Amino acid sequence: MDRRVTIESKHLFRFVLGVLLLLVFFLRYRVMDPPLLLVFLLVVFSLMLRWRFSFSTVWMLIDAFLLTMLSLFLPEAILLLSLYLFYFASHRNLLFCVPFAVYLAVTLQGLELLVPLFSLLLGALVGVWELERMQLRREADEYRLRTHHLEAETEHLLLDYADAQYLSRLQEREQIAQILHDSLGHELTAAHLSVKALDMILEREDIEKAKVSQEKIEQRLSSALTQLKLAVRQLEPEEKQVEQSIARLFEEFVYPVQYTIRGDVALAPPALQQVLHSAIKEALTNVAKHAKPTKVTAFIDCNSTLLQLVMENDGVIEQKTSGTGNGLRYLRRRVERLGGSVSFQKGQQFKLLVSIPVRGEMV
Amino acid sequence: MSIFAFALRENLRQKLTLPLLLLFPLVLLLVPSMPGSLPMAFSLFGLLNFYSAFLLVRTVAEDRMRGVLVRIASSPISHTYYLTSHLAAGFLLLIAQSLVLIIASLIVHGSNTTNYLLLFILYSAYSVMTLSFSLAWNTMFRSYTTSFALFSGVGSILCLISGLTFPLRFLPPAMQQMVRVLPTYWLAHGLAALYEQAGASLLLAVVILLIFAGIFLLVGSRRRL
Repeated sequence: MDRRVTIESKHLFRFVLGVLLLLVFFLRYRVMDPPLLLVFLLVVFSLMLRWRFSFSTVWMLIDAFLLTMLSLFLPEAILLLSLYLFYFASHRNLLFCVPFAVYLAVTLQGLELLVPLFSLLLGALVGVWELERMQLRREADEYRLRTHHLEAETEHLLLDYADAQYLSRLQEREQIAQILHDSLGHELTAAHLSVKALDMILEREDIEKAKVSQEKIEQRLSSALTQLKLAVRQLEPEEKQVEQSIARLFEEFVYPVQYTIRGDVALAPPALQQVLHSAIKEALTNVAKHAKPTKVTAFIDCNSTLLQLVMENDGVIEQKTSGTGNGLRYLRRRVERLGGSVSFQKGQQFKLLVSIPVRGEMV
Repeated sequence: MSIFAFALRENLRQKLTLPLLLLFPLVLLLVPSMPGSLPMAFSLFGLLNFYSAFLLVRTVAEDRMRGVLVRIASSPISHTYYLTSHLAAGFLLLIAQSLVLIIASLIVHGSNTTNYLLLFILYSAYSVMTLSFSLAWNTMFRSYTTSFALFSGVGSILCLISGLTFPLRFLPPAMQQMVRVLPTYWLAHGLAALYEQAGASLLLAVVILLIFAGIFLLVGSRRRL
């Protein structure tokens, strides 16, 4: 359990007010006759009333005004006005302090002047402290809200990702079923019927016809085998498909991109190809969103140990928000899952560097 | 049954309540008077009233300690209504106690001893103060037994040094100045004013007692579940 000890501004307010009350009491102790004690108790009551119930500060102004009036008849009570100075200052109503501070400055003499002065200063201090705490609390609330939204967004994206995976798997199955049905189904059905016919011919001991039928069956099965090979080849990803797709991304981008691809990306494992594709897409989206470049360059290097992407643009715009956006954060997570790393350099040019080690055999 | 009637019944069901309210004020009248002041019974009554008030807020204190307040908080009854009903019941019983003393005093000392109406007003203000003091005192403790144990000491000392158990003039002058901050002092002050027939001084005592009552009520009425 978190057992942090925090000093709230309200605790400090009460403590300082208590100390000031005691101070005023002891300064006036020698002349504390019943009328002055009555006024003192009334002031305590007035302060405690504000502690229990929240009234507008204007009501406190009325109390302070009444005390000022009373102090004309009971001069010893004037020091009690310091408590109201503290109250107004701590509630950041410095304007309310002015008339009373002037009145106290004119009326009080000597060291007693220090009491309202300290009250004012301590009040202002408590007020500033409270303001700062309120600001901190507001910021913390904002961060919590933002985290909550991000978590919700991540969850949503993960669900979308799972849905997309499931749909693509279904589509793939459907495609396989269609290919098998269209190409293999026909030949295999014909071969099956021919085998049945061969049975009947053999029962009739018509050897010549049986030989012809056997040849036809062999032709059918050979054709089915060829169709199967063709179907498998159709299902396999095209070697040049990834490179074409990447090239299309660069060519269709809003700003001209100078790109170089070294090595054969198609030989990298499919997961790496997929991440590389996402990384390029994310990098281009960021350029479109956050930069106004005159030149965008991309360099892809794929060898037997490392797959590397370097993207640069010269149109960096100064932004108020710092830190990493959602897209780059997700990309970093995906790259790190494959043992790679994502890094940025921000100067006159923005540079994104993605490196993923190639593990296992190249395809 | 309203909360007021319930509080009244609960208070009367305590074994000590009836003797404290009806019998002890009569016993106080047996204490001999001192020359130059009102009968000692009038000031000693302050001590009796103080302890009686503490006993009468027991139901409120125990409701909090037993968690009854949590159940009340979840019901449509407001805390203000609950507290007002209990305090009104306690106040009614304390008023009855002062009336017992005043009526008995009228019989024993006669009607010329003092102005009994003003005495009744003074006792009423004092009863409000003792009730709210007891309420505020109990909010500081989690157990009524601990609270009472400490109160029995503090209450006796308060009454002793504020001139309720013996005349204030026997105290050193510096002490007499000091005890003015004690709420119980203002009953002794009021009684002295009553004896000297100083109306303004008596009014001041009543007002100060009521302000003390207000301050204690503000502390004691906080809902602590």
